[in-house]
Amino acid sequence: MQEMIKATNLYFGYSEERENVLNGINFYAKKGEFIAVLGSNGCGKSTLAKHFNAILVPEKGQVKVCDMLTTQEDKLLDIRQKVGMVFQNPDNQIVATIVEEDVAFALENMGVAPDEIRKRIDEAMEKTGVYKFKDKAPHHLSGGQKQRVAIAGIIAMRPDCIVLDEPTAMLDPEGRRKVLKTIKTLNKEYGITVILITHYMDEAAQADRIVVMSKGNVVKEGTPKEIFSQVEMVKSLSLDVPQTSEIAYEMTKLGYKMSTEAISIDECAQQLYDFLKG
Amino acid sequence: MLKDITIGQHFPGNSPVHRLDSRIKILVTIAYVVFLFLSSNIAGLALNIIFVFSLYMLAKIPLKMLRKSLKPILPIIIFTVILNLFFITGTGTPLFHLWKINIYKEGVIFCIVMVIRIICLISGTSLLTYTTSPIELTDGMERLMKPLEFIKFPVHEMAMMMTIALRFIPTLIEETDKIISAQKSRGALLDSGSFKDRVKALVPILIPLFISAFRRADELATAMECRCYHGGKGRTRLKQLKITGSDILSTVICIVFFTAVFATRLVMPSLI
Repeated sequence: MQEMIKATNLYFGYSEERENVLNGINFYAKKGEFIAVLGSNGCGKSTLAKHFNAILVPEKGQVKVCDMLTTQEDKLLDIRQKVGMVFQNPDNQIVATIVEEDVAFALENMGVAPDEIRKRIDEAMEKTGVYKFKDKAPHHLSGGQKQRVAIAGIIAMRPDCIVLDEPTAMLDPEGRRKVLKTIKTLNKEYGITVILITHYMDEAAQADRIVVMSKGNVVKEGTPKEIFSQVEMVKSLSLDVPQTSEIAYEMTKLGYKMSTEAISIDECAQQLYDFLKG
Repeated sequence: MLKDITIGQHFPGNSPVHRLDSRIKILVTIAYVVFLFLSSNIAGLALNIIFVFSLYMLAKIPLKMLRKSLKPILPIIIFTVILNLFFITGTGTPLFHLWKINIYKEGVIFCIVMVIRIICLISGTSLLTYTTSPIELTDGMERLMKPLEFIKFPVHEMAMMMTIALRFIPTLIEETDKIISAQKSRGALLDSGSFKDRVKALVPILIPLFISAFRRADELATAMECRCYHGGKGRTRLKQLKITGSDILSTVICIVFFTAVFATRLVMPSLI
C-alpha cells in the first residue's frame, strides 16, 4: 500500500530554551488507514499533527505527504489540500456566518469555479449530514453539528487524508457519537485516510492501528487489541483502557481467565455470559 | 441581557429584498440615509416611513426585531427630544411656559421630525444587515471599494476582517456573558457601587475576554491556513454577484421613490 504521510526522524521545539516537543519521531500513515493517536497531554500529539500539513515544519528530519516534502514552499497549497485538519474547538474554525459559505471557504481559496464549488459543497454537506443546516448561522447549531460543519469544510477540498485533533473533546455524548460515525463513514466508504487524536479509548478502539506517544516519541504501536491487552503498560503512560479491557483485566487479576483482547462490547459480553453459564 | 443586541444579525430568507444584489443594497441604503435627511415635510417623511415599512413587510422581518433594535437607541432619542424641546426658540408665543423654560411650537415639530428620522435611520440601516448575509455584505463592499486597490488600499484584507468580526460578535457576546457569570459567582459586584467602582469592575471581565479573543484568533488563523487561505489572490466566490433584471427593476423603484421624496421638497414647504 502507498504511504500517505511519512515522518522520519522528526525533531521540533517551539523555543530554544525549552525542551524539544518532538524527539526524533517516526510516523507513517498508509492510504485508507484509520489511525488513532493516543498520549497524555503535552506529549506532542498536536505538534506532530501540525507537521502533516505544513503548519509547522521540522527542525530536523522530514515529513513527506504523497512524496512531497512539507518544506517545499511551492507545494504548500497542494499539501494542505491533500491533508485536511480539524481542531478541537468548532467555534474557532468556522470563518463564515452561514454554514454553506463556510463549507465553501477552502474551495474559494483554492480558486475553484463557482459551479464546481456548489457541487462539491453540496456533496460534502451530504456526506457529513449537515445539508439541512446549510442556510443556518453557525452559532445556532450545537457543538456536534458545528464540528460536522468543520469536517464538511475540510471534505469539500476532497483531501486524501484528514487529521482530527481531539474533535470530540468539547462535545456531549450524542454529538460525539455522530461525529465519530461521520469520521468512520468517510474512512470506510470514501477511503479517506483518518488520523484521529483522542483521549477517548472507545474511539481509539475502532481504529485500524493505534499509535501511543509519550515525550515526543512513539512508544507503542499496534492494533487496538494488541495495545489494550497490555493494560498495565497503557496505564503506566497515564492513559486509560476501554471499559471492556478493564473488566477483562480485573477479572484476570481475580483469577478468572478472560481474554483482554475482547475489546468490543459484544465480545466482552459473550465472555462474561460464558462465565456465568459455566 | 447581552443577547438582546441585534446589530449585525442576519435573518436568512428568500424575499426579493434578500435576493437583491448586495452592492445595490448598500448604495440604496446610503442614498436612503441621504434622502431621509433631505425630507423635511409631512409627505416626504410619510414616504420614508411607508418605504421602510413596506420593505420590512416584503422581507418578512418580524416587527419584534425592529423593536429590539430600536430599544438600545431609546436614550439617544429621549436625549434629542429633551434637548431640542427646550433649546429651540420660536417666533410666536410659547406653548408652555414655566419659570425659565419655554417650549415653542417649532421645537415640538422639530422633535417629531427628528424622532421620525432617527427611527427611520435605524430601521432602514438594520434592514440591510437583516436581509444581507455578512459575507454578501462584505463581498459587496469589497467590490464597491475595488477601485481603491489602485491606491494600494488593502480591500480584500479589510473585507475579510469585517467578515470575521461579524462572525465572532455572537460568539464573543456569549463568552462575555459566561465571564460575567463566572466573576459574579466569585463575588464580583458589577451592578452596585459608584461609577468608578463599576468601571473598575469591568477590568476582570475585559482581561479574560481579550485573552480568549487572542487565543481564538490564533486558532482561527491556523484553521484558515489549513484551508488553503493565502490572501485575496486567485480567490473565487461561491456566490457570484450578478446584476439581474429584477435588480434593475428594484433599482428603478428605489430611484422613483427617492425622486418622489425630493419632489416633495419642491411642492411642500419644509416643517423645520
